[in-house]
Amino acid sequence: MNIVVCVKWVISPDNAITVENGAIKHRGLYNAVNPGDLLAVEEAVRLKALGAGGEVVLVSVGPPSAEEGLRRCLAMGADKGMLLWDTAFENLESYTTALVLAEAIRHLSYDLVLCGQKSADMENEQVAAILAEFLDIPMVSAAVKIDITNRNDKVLVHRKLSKGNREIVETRSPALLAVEAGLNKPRYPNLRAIYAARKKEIKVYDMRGLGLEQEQAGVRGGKTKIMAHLPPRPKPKKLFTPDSRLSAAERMRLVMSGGVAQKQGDLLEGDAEYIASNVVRFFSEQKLISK
Amino acid sequence: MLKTVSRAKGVWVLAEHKQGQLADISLQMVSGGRQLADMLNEDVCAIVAGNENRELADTLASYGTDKVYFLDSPQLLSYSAELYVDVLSRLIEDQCAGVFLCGATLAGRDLAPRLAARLKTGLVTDCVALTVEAGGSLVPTKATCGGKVYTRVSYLTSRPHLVTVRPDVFEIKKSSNVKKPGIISITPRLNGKEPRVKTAGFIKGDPKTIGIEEAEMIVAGGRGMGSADNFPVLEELAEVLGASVAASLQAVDAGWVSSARQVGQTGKIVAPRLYIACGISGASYHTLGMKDSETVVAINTDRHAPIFKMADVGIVGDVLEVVPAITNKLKAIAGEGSRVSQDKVADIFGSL
Repeated sequence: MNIVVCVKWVISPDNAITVENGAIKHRGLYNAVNPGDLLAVEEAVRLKALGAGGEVVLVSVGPPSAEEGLRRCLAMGADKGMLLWDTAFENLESYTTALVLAEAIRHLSYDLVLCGQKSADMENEQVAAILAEFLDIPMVSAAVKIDITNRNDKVLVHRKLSKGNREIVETRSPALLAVEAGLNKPRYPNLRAIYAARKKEIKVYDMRGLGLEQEQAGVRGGKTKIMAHLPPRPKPKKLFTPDSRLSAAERMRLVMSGGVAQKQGDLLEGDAEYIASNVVRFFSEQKLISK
Repeated sequence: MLKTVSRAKGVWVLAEHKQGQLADISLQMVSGGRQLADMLNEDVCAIVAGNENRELADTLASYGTDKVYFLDSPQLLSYSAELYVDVLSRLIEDQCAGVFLCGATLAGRDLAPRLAARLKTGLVTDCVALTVEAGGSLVPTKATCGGKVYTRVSYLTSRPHLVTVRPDVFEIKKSSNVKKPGIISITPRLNGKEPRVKTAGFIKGDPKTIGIEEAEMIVAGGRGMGSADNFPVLEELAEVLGASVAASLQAVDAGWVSSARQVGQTGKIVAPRLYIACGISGASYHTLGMKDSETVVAINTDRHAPIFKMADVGIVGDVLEVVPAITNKLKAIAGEGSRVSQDKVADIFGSL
């Protein structure tokens, strides 16, 4: 069972990120392996252990500093890594990233290609699908459970739908699966594994090494371009006003029960019935319930 | 710079529908598409897959659609990535579509990048805003870095330009200039190719057993609940709403609820459509775990509880009085033993 795992070295989602003059302030920001890709590495190592041998190969597009992330994944049990980097790759976007990855992967022999559904920084959620198209292999997104039988090449996947629902799909290897939270819990490698990872191979490939032309992979090959990074707009709070236009009966009941409805700022208080009416009305306005 | 192919025209919207009803997200996309089309001085064309249902055309027109393309083929009734990519990419090319717009739903997010690859064109996903610059070029804005940054992106290719838009960014708005829609029926060539990925079944999630991170609605209890004996009050509300029960660190530490249901910094991060916080003070280690909830309702006896700062509806009262009152009102609407929750966004065409 040979598995290729695509890994991205991202701006860690735990950073406090600020923007200035249309750009992200990079000073003080630290990177991490994309959380979705860690799930993919964990799954690859797990599947390899279940199967009869094989290799887990990591492939990553990133600068030399990304090697740290690859070492972490090697320590989890992956066998070797390929780091794809060229100065021309400075501003790759989804399409060109997928193109570069495809160039490296198409020469490998694999049963599965695994990767995170989306990256924690740019969150484009495109590379997996575009990569599958370039490699001309079936692709399943939102995978949260993977079952692969070795004897035939059948792959069974549970896909995450909303509300905890699952869709079960079947395909055949080689296939590309984009994975999501819920798949597994990535292991923390122990010290011995971390030391062993230092001896595992990471080969670096530049554009020439991959056989790519400047026009394809450089910025000119890209389909989109980032214009600016700006501060986010806060989500507007929903408008809620307690309804003072109660029916006569309800008003009578309030007066008689001595529970006069008060408002403190936006807070709702008073008779439980009155509160409940308002809450249910609010739910209905927000289309949370059907009424 | 951007080269706009002058032949490529029209804002095309993929209309998601389930059981003969258009999904809210599609009405949002048509409404937003209409605004965009007005700025570009072009038409809104809706694509309805797998259904020849004339009422849908009139509904789409009332929100501003100029033409409706019906892809008449029963095989397209339920979403299959491969079939949809084949059919839609051919339609977009044949019709020289200018902009292709769809909601960033499960189906939209699965389909759009495949289309971008097939058409070898640009796609910007999960957008929170769309602007049109001089010359008619579309510049979408999307949230990145976990929502901490808004990133503006432009297209480097000629049209078609693909966009997926986050649900609820566009408001559903009836058009002030409704015309009789042009209706074009297309019988797509399906090649007879077997899809390489086949659906084998579905598993419905039970709000009582699914992970709280996946729950669409959550009723959470904190120290203000008083004891484990009072949690059934929350379970009843959860039952009628189709929600999952969760808890704060205090309730879990007191042994009232299992730690798998803990929301917060040392528990799980949740972002449901509705979060009802009962007897929860709202300390930061808790709110860190639920601050991305779409709607927050808080019930607490302490009017100065920090939770009220982030609640859309704040209720000062006793949970043991307020929650049953809400439950009873909801039960009266639902009828005994059923749920009131409404499907807001179609998961996937024609399923569950």
